[in-house]
Amino acid sequence: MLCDECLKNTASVHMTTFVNGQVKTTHLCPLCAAKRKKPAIISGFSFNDFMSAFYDENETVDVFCEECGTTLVDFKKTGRLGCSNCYKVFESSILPVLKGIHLNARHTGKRPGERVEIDITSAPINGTKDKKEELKKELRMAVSTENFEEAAKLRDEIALLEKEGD
Amino acid sequence: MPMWLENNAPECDVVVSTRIRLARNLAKVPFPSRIRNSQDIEKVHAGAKESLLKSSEFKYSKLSDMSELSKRALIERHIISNELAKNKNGGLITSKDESLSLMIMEEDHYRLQSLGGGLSLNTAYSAADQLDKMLADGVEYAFDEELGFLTSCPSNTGTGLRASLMLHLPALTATKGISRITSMISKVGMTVRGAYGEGSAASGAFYQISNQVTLGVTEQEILARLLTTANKVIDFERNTRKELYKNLGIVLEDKIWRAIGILKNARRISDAEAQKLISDVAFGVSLGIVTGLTSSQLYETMMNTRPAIIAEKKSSDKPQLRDIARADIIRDVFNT
Repeated sequence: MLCDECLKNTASVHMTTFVNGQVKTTHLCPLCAAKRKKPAIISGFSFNDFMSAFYDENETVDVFCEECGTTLVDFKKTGRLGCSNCYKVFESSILPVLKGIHLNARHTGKRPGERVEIDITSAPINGTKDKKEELKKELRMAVSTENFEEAAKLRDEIALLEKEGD
Repeated sequence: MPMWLENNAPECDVVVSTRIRLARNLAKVPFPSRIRNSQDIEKVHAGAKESLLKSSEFKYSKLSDMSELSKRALIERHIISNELAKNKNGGLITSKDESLSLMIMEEDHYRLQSLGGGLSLNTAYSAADQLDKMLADGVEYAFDEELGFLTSCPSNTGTGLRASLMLHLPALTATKGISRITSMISKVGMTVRGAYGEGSAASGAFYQISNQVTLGVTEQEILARLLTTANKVIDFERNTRKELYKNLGIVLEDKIWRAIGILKNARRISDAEAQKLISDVAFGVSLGIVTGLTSSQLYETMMNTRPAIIAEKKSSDKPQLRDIARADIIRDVFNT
């Protein structure tokens, strides 16, 4: 499909706009898409409601990945990325999604080629021990970021758990 | 047959099997949905073959060389996904007993899988980790210091680890306790699905629970949280089984003995009926109503009598013949 604007390049960005109450779909090459400044809404939103919550309906789509050709529209429609480079190109759109799914966007697991010994036979059934460890971790984080109000709250919660444990 | 479904596996009265899955991609090659040239596809296959086929334990096959029937049987044995079965560019590496496998060109370049009988998170993870190390020594993974392993879908980014437990929950299904379980599990960042993965309906009384969060947590944390959740579900199911037996008594015994009557004598039986009745018997075994049979034996029979698995063994895909063969296999198990 050719670009509606320059009629030369292949269209890879598909925009839907509302003009006087009429829906109009425009197919553009990334270059022409970048030149456009009119607000557009993303069409065919099918990833899921969860993702849609992260996006402004009035943003103009003009970002695409040079490595694999994936556009921001593709990502928003399918929820799939095309290559490792997409993570950098669409960083500002991906980070809120990652934080939404995972609550945190910083990898703490193993690295390529590493091996990890797992021992979860002693995992507590009631989760008290887990929770205390988690709170302690949050406390260290709060102190290091000088969030003392939060730190005080966490310290009290830990003290309470320790008291219950006795 | 699946050797990983061993006898007397831990907690096998409730936990059928454990599955560990790791999502990995090659650096500098587009993900499968965007891969266009055949050299890149070849690179993905070659990377896995060179790293893993050094060991005679593994064998490689191309999906395009497989019959539709063998693909269906692999799906029934939980070795490949529907998505991979449809992909002409797909590949598969399996260990001899199929406890370890690698899907090539599924949603990600590589999906490593480790299966174990019963509740076996430690051993299944350790085997997957070893496979991951073998592959990592031969190829360069797409990895980011901040975000961890990069995957096609952001829901797998980070550790790329999905740990699932297949649970047999007949009592919670009968008492509708399952909806309470589902909401409890989703609150702690886990999901409940049907026996055949994403989008599949829960068949009979079998459910999968797995972690949702893969980023910002360590592998150890993911598995420990899943275990904590699983232990609660196991306790709940066991208590509900006892309650049901206390309340229903002979009504429940009658139901289970009737199931045995049919399974011992039927000359032809459909997959759905067999699954349902064997599930009832497994319930009876866990309550001590039935002796001489083990849960693992029953789960294995369920798997051995799935349609494509029977058809593959009998080299015939006719439903009538399958139903006869299924009844034969079941009578063998129940009359010895």
